[in-house]
Amino acid sequence: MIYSLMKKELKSNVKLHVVFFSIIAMYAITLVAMYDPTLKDSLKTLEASMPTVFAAFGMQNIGTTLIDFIITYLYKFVLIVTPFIFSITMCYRLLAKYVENGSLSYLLNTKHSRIKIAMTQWLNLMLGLVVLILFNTILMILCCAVLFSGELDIPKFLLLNFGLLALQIFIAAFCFMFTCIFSEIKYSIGLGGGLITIFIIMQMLSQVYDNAKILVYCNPLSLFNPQQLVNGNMMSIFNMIILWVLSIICLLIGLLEFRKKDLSL
Amino acid sequence: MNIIEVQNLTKEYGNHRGIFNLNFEVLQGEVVGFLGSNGAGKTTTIRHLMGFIRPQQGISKIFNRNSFYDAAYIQENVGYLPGEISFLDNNMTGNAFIQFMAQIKGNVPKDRLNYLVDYFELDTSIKIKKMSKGTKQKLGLIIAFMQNPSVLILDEPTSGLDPIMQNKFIELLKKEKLKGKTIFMSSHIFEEIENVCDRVLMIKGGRLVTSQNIEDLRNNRQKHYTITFSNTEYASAFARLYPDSICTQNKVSFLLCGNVNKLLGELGQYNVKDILVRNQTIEEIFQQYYRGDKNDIFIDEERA
Repeated sequence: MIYSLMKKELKSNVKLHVVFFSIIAMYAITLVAMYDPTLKDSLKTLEASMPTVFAAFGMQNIGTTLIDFIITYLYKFVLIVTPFIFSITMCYRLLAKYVENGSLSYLLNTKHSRIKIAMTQWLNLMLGLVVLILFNTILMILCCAVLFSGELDIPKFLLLNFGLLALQIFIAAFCFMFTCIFSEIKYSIGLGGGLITIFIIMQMLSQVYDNAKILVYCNPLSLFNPQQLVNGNMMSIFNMIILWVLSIICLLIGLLEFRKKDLSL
Repeated sequence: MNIIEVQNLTKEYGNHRGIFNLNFEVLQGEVVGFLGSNGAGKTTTIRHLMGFIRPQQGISKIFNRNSFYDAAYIQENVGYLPGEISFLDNNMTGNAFIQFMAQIKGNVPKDRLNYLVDYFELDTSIKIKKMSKGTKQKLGLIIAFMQNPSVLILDEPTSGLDPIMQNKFIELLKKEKLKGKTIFMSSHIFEEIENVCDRVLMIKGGRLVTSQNIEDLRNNRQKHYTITFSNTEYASAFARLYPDSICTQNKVSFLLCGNVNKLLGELGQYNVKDILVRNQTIEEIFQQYYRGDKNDIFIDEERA
């Protein structure tokens, strides 16, 4: 890892981090504040009135506990999409931009190898994600403690967030792989971003239509099933491990391709 | 000792673009100019030397190491100025970028850095996005020279610089040359490199046209004369003295190497209205040395 590069990127991207932290904080705080054990009945009525819209965003079968409530409203859409947008933006800012405009040559005209530079940028991206999800976790635990003391099952909630982190690292590694392989923005950012968007749409469709359930099985995002994870389903723990393995594979493919590709700098 | 070595280097991009079977070497302490028009393959060659692209055939070496596979080792000891001016982060100030590059390169003497900033009169307090093209070029040059590398590879180093800065840059190169640095620089203007280079490599259509000692080049260098006579009779009479000249109405154009006194003597017998003397264009210099396909030259003449 190259410390000076790490430091520079943290400094350059601080504004972006603040924006994403604010979005996450806004969702986390308002959602926990919205939780009202007595409100459940009226929400059920609302869901019954427009089941497809609720299902598309993963909000079917609203549970009874605080953690179910949080999963339904945040972990099926908002916390999938927001960190994904963060990752794809960082892929552009950390690597794709430098390849596209040729300024990567300044980083390469040093004692550092391509692999070391790409690894540093990956760590930068991953660190951002870890801090983002850690921030979300701590903030929600604090909000729940203040507003609904004792209602949140903290060990389950930590497991849930560990699962979310596994999914988000996978999404980031998947996007980063394309950033490493291709030089033109339309492929280096477009392919990763486009495919993940398709996966997200597939997930939404499979939640609405029963005959679209097949889409679940060809979608890596299905490997993160928040409801099953908090229920302690062994399969979902295993799926989480698969996500970690897939992330490592994506990263390795990306780095190896980055090492040998032609750079028009 | 060869510092830079290129053997059979080939990279085809289709449509006759790319570089084909390049062979050359640069000795230690030598300053070599790499001359060619736009799209001739200069930057592609330099990208190979810097290990950014992999050759389809052949090999390029610096310090006797493969410039693609040993890029990290080579890059540490080579100062590079990219042909395209773009920096990592346009929101950084010049100073922040210089400090960052000094840190990441890791072997930059502080006094050297200060000297370069003063020498190029760079205002480092402004943000890169606010800098003019020439100022950005100065910033790029400072980065290339900052770690005091033994080899410098510069892609069109004077582009964007004003004439005063161009001269200062040439002076700096001369100083570096005295220190025994090996310098390889590309250009599409002959005059730019004739003051500092020992040797010139000429590239055209991705192929090496010639490698000439700068002294030989200078001695064989022709100038382009266009003489306007007071009437067409004088012009055609004079044109007979120079069989290769082109006579259009009262103007005669031709190339001449030396022999200025003789020419002045001849012109004294006619009524001359105007004399225009200019340096040869790069294409004209190439034609002088080109030993390849004649048709190619005609195509270029038509374009010109």
